[in-house]
Amino acid sequence: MPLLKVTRRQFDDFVAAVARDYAVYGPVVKEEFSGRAYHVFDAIDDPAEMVIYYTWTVFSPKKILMPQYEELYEYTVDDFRCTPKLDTTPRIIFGVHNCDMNAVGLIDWVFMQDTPDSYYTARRANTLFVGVNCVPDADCFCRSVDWHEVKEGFDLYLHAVDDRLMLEVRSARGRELLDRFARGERASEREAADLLEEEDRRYRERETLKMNTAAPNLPMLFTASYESSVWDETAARCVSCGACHLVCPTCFCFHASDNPSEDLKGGKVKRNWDGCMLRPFAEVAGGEDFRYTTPARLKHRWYRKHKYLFQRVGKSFCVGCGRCGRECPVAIKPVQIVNDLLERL
Amino acid sequence: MIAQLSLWQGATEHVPLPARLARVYDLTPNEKYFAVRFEQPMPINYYPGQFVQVWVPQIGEAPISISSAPDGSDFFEMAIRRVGSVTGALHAMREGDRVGIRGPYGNGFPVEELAGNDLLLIAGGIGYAPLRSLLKYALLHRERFGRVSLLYGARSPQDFLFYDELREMRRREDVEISLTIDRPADGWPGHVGVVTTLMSDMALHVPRTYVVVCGPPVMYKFVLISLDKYRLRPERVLLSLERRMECGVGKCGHCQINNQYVCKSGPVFDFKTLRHLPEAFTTV
Repeated sequence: MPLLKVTRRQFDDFVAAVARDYAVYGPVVKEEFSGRAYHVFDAIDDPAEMVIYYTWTVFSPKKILMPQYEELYEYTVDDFRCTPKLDTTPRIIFGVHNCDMNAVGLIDWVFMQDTPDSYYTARRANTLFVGVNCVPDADCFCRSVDWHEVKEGFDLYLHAVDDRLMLEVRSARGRELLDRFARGERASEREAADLLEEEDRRYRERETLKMNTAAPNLPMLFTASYESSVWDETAARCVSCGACHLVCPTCFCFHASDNPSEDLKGGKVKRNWDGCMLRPFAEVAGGEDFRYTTPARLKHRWYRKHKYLFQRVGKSFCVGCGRCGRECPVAIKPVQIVNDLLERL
Repeated sequence: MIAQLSLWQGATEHVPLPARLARVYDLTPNEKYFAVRFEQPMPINYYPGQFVQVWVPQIGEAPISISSAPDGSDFFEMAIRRVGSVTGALHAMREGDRVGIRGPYGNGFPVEELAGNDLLLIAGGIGYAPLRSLLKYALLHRERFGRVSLLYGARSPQDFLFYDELREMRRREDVEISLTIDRPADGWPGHVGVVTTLMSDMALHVPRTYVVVCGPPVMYKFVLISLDKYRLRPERVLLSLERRMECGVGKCGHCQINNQYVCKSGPVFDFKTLRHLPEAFTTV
């Protein structure tokens, strides 16, 4: 499939054209702080605002498919009527990096098999993804966990090197979108190959292998490391703030709550992101807490990623986006945990 | 373990079905009996040992064990301790009041696998709530089981759930009920001591016995130690575990023990599975 060469102007026109049929999201600058820009996925009003080159966003596109606060149903007390609200808005999310797309694939596995989640499935079925190549930083490690390539998930992909932009079709829905809305010029094989080569070169220059073991060894490493002193030592710094799972693109645990309306005639049952690093996560009504200590919780979170869920899906549930390490107030780094475990085997 | 039944008609994974409290009475100073009937009449199928999510509007949901056995009636029963906000609200409700129900969830006891065997049920405190469903089931289908016995420990005589029913059962020839209280109490003629003290002179036909345990977290360890001398095969020791459960369908994450979702793979586990799970019996 030949790539479609577009100018930034043509790309913006494409975004504006699809915005007539879809709610469009993409990475934008949220704010500048200490001389650097913080990017977030947000609704796009003006395509020119969309950022093509960025390293990471604060939250992954998970926040669109599984909002941090989400209504499950609205109810009225008198007639005991419960009305679930499913969101089927057609959406397109632009500017998604490979790690985040793979994370969506993992969340799909959680919510769309074995008692599928109606709410997630409704959003996911109506959401298209347009990828873009990334600008890795020192905290990125997608290659280490073998999640740097996307096999499925993207509908379109924007290859971007400096001011050269080319759109690639990745699905039938993407093909249709491109045919209908995109204007550009068919790239020659040579042009396409040059661009992809340069894209790959820049990626590899920045994204080096950081874990001192290959990804398939992770479950074995974790099986051997349950009693490792690394857990207590790392957890001694942890303040259980939950920032790691708050920004994690593959953390999916949630808490449901009842929110009475102001007139007390009804209310809404909502769910919100929750996480196993927070102390009351495993506490039961009688007061027993099955994961009371910080080492137990920190360990559980990483065993989930690199062993328990790994063994169910065949790959790590950590996609190597590096967000937890960047946001951790005490600089607990995911790669460091693995390398420390290896060193003390 | 047996396959999960499909959810009760009409319930989605998060939206409860309206039901009414058909009967409510005090079991103990802290625990009440609730019989629940759906507003839309329907056959109520479930396995003993499964649980439901009970919703009190404007308060929230709580996972509660079913205490009855499916016998064709149009209601099911629960024994609920007043311990949190939802159970507190339930204790303030009266017959005819409405609640929401989602379920049934969890695997329940593997009744097909248990058939043809002796059953030794060991309960501590509120742990009798799910075990009662199995005991009732065994008595309903009495010919399918060998010897059926219950060892049940409570803090004091007034803390036994379904005490009158247990006294009735003691008159039966085909079931053995042994009760014990933690400390001596006035007027208590029976055994005194934690539930494991009932096990000291217990004779089991080991090859055809299943032991089924439910109680507070601290109880499991001591029961397992006391069972050690019988050399039961670990798959013949079943334990029903309590964990925090919010969704009931293996998504929300709260109930996990290592790699297991208690709401899906449990709450009933055999010891063969649990002995490999470091988080199963600890509250660290």
